[in-house]
Amino acid sequence: MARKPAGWVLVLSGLILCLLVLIFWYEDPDRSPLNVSSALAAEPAGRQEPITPIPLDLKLDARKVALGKRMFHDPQLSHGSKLSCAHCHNLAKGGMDGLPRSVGATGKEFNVNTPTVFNSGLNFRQFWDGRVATLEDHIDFHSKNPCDMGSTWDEVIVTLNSDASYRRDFEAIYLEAPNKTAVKDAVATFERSLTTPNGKFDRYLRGDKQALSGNELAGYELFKSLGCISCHQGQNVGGNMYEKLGIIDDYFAHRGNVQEADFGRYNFSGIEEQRYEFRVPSLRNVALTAPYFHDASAATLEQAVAIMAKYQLGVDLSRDEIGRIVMFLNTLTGIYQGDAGR
Amino acid sequence: MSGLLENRIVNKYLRKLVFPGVAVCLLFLFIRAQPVDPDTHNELARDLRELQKSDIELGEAVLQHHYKMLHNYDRVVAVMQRIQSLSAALAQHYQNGSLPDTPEIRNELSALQQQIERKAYALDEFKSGNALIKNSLIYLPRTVNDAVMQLPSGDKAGHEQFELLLRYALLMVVNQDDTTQNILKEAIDMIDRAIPGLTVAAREPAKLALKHTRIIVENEGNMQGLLGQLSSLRTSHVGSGLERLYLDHYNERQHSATRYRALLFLAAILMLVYAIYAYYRMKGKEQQLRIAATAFETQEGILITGLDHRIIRVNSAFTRLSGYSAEEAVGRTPEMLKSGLHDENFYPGMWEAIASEKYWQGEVSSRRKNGEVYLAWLTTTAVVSDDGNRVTHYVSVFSDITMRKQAEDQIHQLAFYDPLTKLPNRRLLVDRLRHAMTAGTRKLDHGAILFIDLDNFKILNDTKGHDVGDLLLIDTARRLQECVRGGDTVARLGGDEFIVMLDELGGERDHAAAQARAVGEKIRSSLGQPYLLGEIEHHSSCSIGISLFRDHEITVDDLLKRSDTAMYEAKAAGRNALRFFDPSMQAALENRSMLEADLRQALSRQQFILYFQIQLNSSAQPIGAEVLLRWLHSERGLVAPGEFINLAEDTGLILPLGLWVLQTACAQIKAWETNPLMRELQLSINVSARQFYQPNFVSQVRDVLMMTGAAPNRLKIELTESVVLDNINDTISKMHDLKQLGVRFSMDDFGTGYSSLSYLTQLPLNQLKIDRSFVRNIGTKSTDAVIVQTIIGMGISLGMEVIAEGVETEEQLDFLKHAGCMAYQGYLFSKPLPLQEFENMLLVGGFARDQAEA
Repeated sequence: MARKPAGWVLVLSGLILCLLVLIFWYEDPDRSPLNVSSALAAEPAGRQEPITPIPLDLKLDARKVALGKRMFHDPQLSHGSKLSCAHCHNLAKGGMDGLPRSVGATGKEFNVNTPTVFNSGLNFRQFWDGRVATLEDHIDFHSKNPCDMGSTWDEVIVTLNSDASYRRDFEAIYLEAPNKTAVKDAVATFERSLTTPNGKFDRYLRGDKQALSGNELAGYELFKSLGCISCHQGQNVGGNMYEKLGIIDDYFAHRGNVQEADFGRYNFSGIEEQRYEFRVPSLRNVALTAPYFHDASAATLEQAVAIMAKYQLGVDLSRDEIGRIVMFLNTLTGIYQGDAGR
Repeated sequence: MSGLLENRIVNKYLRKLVFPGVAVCLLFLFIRAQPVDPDTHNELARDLRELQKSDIELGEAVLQHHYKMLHNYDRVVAVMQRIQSLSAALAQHYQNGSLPDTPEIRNELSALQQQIERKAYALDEFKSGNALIKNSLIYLPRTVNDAVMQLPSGDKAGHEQFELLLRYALLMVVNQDDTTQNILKEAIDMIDRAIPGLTVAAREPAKLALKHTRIIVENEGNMQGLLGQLSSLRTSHVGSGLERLYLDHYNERQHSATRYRALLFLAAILMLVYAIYAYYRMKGKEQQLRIAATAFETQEGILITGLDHRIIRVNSAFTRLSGYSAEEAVGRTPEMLKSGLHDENFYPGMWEAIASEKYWQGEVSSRRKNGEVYLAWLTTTAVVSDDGNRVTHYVSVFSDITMRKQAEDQIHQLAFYDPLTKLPNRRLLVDRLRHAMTAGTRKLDHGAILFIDLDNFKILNDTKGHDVGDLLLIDTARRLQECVRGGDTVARLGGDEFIVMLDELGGERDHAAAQARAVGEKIRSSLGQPYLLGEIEHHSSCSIGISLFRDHEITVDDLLKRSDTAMYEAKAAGRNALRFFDPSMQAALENRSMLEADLRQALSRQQFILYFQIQLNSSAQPIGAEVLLRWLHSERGLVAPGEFINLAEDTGLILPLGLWVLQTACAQIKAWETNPLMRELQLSINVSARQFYQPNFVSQVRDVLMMTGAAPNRLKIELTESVVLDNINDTISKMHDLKQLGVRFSMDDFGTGYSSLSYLTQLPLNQLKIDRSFVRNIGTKSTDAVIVQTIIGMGISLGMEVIAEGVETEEQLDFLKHAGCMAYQGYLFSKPLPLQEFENMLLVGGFARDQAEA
């Protein structure tokens, strides 16, 4: 005859059952702190103005921004602690270093001109050839590239983990030790915070009709009537489409010394039609980001405008016209808010 | 008491398979009854809807761009991104399992992803193409205008060419069919050919115009395809197939969940039903349990042990009977109750019987906790398992039968033992006799019956009371038991009759008889010792009749009768005697009975006569006569006193007889008063013990003396020693009373009794009669001669007359004379004579020594 199960067995089973029921009763709320925002720009309002102002409130996590900012400026994250992101994307100098081509941690030159980091979050893709879609992916690329950071993620993570304050910050925000996903999220969040609203033109767009001078306004009209606005439109005055460089005339043939970097989109898509196609750059803060074009062939804005008019529109602009356009372009320079107001 | 399930097999599997199986089934049903998580479903449905919505939105926006209603690509870019993220979300859903993992879904998902990728490409192409078209549409008219203005005014064809170019280029925007394209291409070629012919100023604008036209052609040609890809007017929305598949799956899942929920409910109902059934069943079992528990707590002790004999359970009666509490008993074996009084084979034998018969019942001597030993009636039953092959428990029930046993013993005792003396009674004796006879059959051993009757027991009972009599009987019993061996039986028949049975006296009759006699003598002497009954000293004697037996020669009854007869012989012989049964005794017995009958009638028939034997003094002068009773039987003739006196005493006839003798003697005294020869004679009458012990004896004598008028001093009463000594105080007082009347006393048969000389001095005796046995032995036995002399001397010293009776020779006479004896009686002088002859003899006178008539 079997013995009856001991009393404690029954009690224990009962307790376990109660526990299970309770678990089922109360759903575990999703506690993933890593709400990686894949949204880029906020969807623009229904207004049909070809250019829209930069949003003032980005709704970003201030802690992530601060942490990202610290890492952005931390040279330890590169190979040999030579340079940080800020080295090439110098916030004080318009978000880039002003060199035709930046030099990486290993001393190698980059193959294209460094675009500005400001308002980069509003671009639909990153890099001149648009090879990555998000800022996070862009970070991935940069940290590995021997031309710039020249490091590996393992190195970076080890470096971060060896620092108690980093560990503490990561723990506080992400509830885990420094890791790749968290690093990318923090840095990208910081980068997204690098918008420059409240430039003159933005103020004009927001309703302040006094923001632009007559010439600047004339420049804007010219910008529109010439057809520049066809490509340089949107929130970021560009940055949301691809276009070929040299539509009316063959830019590269005339410039000569065609490099691989000149092939643009073709380099990673392999589609012939996409040869010489580049992401249309943003013209925000363009006054600060000389030299211009991927090959840094234009040292001044005037030069850049002239080249654009000739090769993209087939128009020879007068100096007057160039001047007005340039005046207009200057109004696209915004104000980096810093940490305030985020 | 059976468990909830009778079948042992099912019971065995129940524990191991059915219970876990049911639990697993229920778990399975519960899992399957899970509806699709509404949150997940909603998310998925929402994402699918979002996807479709975004897809539509994309199409719309693209068209708006195409129709130059939108100039800002941010929106389409955002929508496209939203579509892409939704696609990623759907892929995530698939990873999570929210989308079922079926081939259709997988295909649909990958098709969706490819579709979206193509759309992204298409969008990019559209954007760049659209921008180019937009600008070229601005510049074409301008450049055409510039070119035309540079043309000679007369170049109509040229004008028309450009006009055509412009028109069709513009037409291209709305109509991209092959006709339009071909015409346009032709126009381009034509102008292209014409360019060298143009003026220098016209060449640039013309080239530009062509450039723009080509741009328009190229891009506008693609537009339709792109628009087709990007707007879902013609094709189904992105994700609709997936949505359909998913919804089908979802509905199916929900239905399935509902079905399983129904099954789960059914299972719950079944369990409820079973629970109700089990509940009522349990109630029934509880009832049975209650009854069993009540039965368990009976008056009888119950203990249940396991196969290893270890006690599992006991009831309260067990504790009450054994003294051990349940805690003390559980875990131990029944050995703890052992009294130690059974031999070492008892318990093993018991367990063996239980093992083979599954049952044992019997008396067991047990010991209580306090050490007390008690007798228990124990029943042990073995409990077997359901299949009957294994013993699982032993159930023992016992009760305390000490009381009952005692009662049984008591009954036995009462049935077979005399309550007073604790000796076996007649019943038991008869039983043992039979056994002894049977045993004798095997061994040819003799046995003997000693029938012992206490002499004069009734007198003691009458005079001293039954309590004293009982004490005598008890002591007698004790003495008898001491006289016999262990294997012999002493029994009390009743009253004052005892039987001693001796067996194994050997095969030889004489030897057996000798042994029996030896025992008989031992008994006789033992019972003759004085008794101390309370504070009364008593002397008793017994009469013993012995009869031998061997196997079943005679019946038990006859044997007893024979020993009885022998006993009567002993009684007849004067008591305090031992007689063997002899066949001739039987005749004597019969004779005796007859005689007894005649005796009863003799007095009324006046068959008695008094004979007189002369007593002379030393001068040969008559001084008196002893009166002796003679019976003249009508048929027998003269019957000697030896024959009937004892009988008269046994039957009590001695009393009327004695009275008649007294009366007749006194009358004779009176009659001789006038006879000078007789008048001096003293008549001695023998008075028996019985007669003398009558309470009214003194008054009897007085009355007779008065009635007859006889002179008391002529009457002499002869008493034997035993008569005197049996009740000395009574005797003394009677004697004194009679002495006062003038009656005289003589002690008869002096010297033969156990008289103590101190008593003698207390008695108012006048005369001592020397017993004839001593007289007879004068000359032969010197010791008897000495005794005679002593008696004479003593008598003289005490102032008593001494008379010798039974004088038969001159020698004896001489001796007696010399010894100083004063009186003589005997055949030497005269035998007892009837009255007439006696009187004649006295007349003649002269008692010469040689007058010895027969």
